[in-house]
Amino acid sequence: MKHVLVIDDDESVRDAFEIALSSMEVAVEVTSVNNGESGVEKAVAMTPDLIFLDLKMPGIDGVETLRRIRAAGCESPVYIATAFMPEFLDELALAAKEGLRFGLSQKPLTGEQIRMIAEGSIEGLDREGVGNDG
Amino acid sequence: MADSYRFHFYVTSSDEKTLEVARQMEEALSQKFEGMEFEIKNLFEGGNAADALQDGVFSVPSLVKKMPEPIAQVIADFDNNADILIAVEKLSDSN
Repeated sequence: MKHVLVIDDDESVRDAFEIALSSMEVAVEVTSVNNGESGVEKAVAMTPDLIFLDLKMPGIDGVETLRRIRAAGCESPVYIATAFMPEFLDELALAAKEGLRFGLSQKPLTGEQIRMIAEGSIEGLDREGVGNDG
Repeated sequence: MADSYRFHFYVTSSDEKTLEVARQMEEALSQKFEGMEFEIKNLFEGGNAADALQDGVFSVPSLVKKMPEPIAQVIADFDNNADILIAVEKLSDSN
């Protein structure tokens, strides 16, 4: 059983992740929380195989959430979900310069894209893993 | 005449660990695709974010086969050397 933590204040996004990940061939248990503080607690308690983290949330944002997750010693792979736009990427560039390691995922993601990220990040590339454009 | 191959490796860091992964990836690609072109693209630098959108990238880090078409993207745990080799094979099979 693999464990994925989804941290996003948007219920419809959390639902989309749960639906997408529930249809993977490998068994995946999804835990969802709607804010950064709860996300830090869950990440430290679970050490999940993968974390999807929204950048913009009420309270502490995605970067601060990641900072606290890493400071607590959790090294799970983290994908921060955001649009690939300069107004969002500038903040993330500073986080990268701090030495924080993370991946990025374009927002919004389709169910297939969510599964491709999970399969590539959790399981390696022993199944699907290549997406053709169009 | 074989099509020329061009690869983009999208990353979020230019630290030593990432550059070492890129070096291993370039070596693996060059053994598979003679004369290929390989470029590291830090999403936070220059116009690379726009290039990522143009390449249809939805996740970083990822390895993209830009040419020949169709464009293909591989997502993997690139810190794992075995995954690098599998990624190269996957792109080879995506034509």
